[in-house]
Amino acid sequence: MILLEIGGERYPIAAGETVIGSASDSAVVLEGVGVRPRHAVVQGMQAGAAAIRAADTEAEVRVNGVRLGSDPTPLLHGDKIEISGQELLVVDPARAGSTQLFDSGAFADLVPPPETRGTGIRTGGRLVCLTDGREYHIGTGALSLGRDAGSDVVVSGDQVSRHHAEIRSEAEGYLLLDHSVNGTYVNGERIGKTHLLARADVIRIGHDEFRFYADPTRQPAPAIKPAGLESEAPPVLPPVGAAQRLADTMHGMPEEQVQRNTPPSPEAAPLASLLFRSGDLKGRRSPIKVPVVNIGRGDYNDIVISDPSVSTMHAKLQRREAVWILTDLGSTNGTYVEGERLTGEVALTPGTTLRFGDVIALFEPLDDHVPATRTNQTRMMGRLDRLPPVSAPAEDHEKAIRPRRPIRVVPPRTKGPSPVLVISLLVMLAVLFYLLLS
Amino acid sequence: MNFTCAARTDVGIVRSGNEDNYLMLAEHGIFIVADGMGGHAAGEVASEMAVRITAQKIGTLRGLSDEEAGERVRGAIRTANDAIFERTLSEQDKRGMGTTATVLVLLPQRYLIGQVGDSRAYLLREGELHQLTKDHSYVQEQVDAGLLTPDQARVHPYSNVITRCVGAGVDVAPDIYFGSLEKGDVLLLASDGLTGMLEDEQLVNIMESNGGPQVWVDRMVAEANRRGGLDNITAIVVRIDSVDSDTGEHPTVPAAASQRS
Repeated sequence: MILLEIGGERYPIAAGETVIGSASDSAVVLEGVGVRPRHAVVQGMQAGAAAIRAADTEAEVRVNGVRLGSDPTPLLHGDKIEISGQELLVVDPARAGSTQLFDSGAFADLVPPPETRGTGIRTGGRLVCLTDGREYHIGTGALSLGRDAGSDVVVSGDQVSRHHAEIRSEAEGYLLLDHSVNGTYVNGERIGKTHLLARADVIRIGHDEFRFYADPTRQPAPAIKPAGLESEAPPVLPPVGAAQRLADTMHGMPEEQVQRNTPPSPEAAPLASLLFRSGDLKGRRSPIKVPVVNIGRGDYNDIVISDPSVSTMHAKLQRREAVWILTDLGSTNGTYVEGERLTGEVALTPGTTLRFGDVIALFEPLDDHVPATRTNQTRMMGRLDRLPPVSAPAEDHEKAIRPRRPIRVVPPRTKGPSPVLVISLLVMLAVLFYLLLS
Repeated sequence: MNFTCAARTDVGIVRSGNEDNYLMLAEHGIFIVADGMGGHAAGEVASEMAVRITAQKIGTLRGLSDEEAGERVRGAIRTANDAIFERTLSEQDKRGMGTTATVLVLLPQRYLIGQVGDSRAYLLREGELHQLTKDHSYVQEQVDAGLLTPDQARVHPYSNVITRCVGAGVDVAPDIYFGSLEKGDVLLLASDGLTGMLEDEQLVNIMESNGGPQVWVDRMVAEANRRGGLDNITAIVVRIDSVDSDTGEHPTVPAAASQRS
């Protein structure tokens, strides 16, 4: 049988309807602003399953943070139901592995008060401003929020009090205290004097919103558990490696990739560098660690050249399909490749001399894919009118990820016969002439 | 062809915003999951642009040969790439944004998938789960090259690094996959917030339980959150209820099929 748990109380869901609301005859009475007399209905089913629906279209019910539509949603062990900022936890003892029969009263005595809203969150508390992304750590002291310039978090706006609110780290968790005239809101609901914060709560003060973060709560120590319930509530952990895989997705390798001891791969080596031959950066080598770098005077560029002849967004260097391509981004003083002003895009070869405005730099790719032809000072491989269309063959996994050779790159034309050829021809003619004459 | 479909996306437990987006155009048989990246809400912008523009450009594939249909899907993803990349150049706060894209199109008796990044498409057939797409990820490339075992890849510090991305460069090369469909097949499109949190067996268990696509996607999201909800979670499930015998027909949607977004 499924149980609903709130504030240490557990309510069994029998077959039929269980009403959650502020009306005193509700099976689960919830008080608080925004709770409707009949707010949500949990439908118990014969097999011990249950589903929840909002009692009417106005009632806001969230399950695991998602607002319910008109359709009921099945309740599973571990689901969190949120009604006007109050959280009910769905507990399914059968799902949690217990085979005992018990009534809810006996159960409440047996099990230590389970984790309820906010309880036990005591570390890693921080606020992230949803407007500017700034992060504020909540230390052992209080974090004050308000219009007063001395506040830890200064919030502007005429709806904001000088000392509007504070967050304290208390034994039971992080406590939000409201001292304001116009109120402090958590997840859209105005709070009373105090509110115990739960992870991912959104706090609104005036027009600014902050999200509260904290470390996940620890599982209760097994020693507290009575012997009979040892198999109760096994911790559900994410699969191995999930944290790494689900870290912020990145395209291309991070800088430290270069230094780390990872297996050799096309991506593992430093990609290229620019060796400056003039300007303030003269003699300096700027490493290129990602396949796309923006070059310019603006400080947001990957390679910043603070020279007045360089435009804020001057040029872009990009590796595509094992070829480095330089693009001028409409710079005022131009980008030059081997002395020739660049229009559109050009594929670079190793050792090419580039000029951004007045600043000269040598391009030195370090990746394996570009043939090491640095010694014979090959010039650019040719111009690309547009990038080659790349065709990944259908259902061909192997090919699909193998770096492809560049397509449609025109090799440099040799201008006239080479001197060596001319000289050898002349010598041969001379010998022939001599032989004929003699 | 008749099918039932459902989708759900969820911010998860840890993230402050949902950068995933999906689109379900049941009447055209088009389903897209996109997992955006880039700070300051740029990831949401990228994934939204990807699903919208890709679906627009695909339009309808009626009457096209497989090759033409594949090219259309490939072209649609590349068009989305152009539009997103353009914005990364013109808007400073959108620099570095990009997105994955997994695009499923139902053809009369077949499926067509366009793929960039590490969102995935799966096929459940007769109790067996087949991953239809290959991740464009650093670790996948290392596994293919024989430099990492799948087990090492799972815990590798760069398992979050993708090697192809919609909107990160002047062009992108989507992979295209085709396959046949049978009655009873279940297709799943998911962002890594789901596939990284649930094992294959758990996905199979959910898709073999009672209830149908809507119940399954709800369960998948709840289960991923229960395990920690480390990332945004998105799932689209399409159950093939019947497959036409003649090839000229266009997919039809039963009234019961739900649609969001």
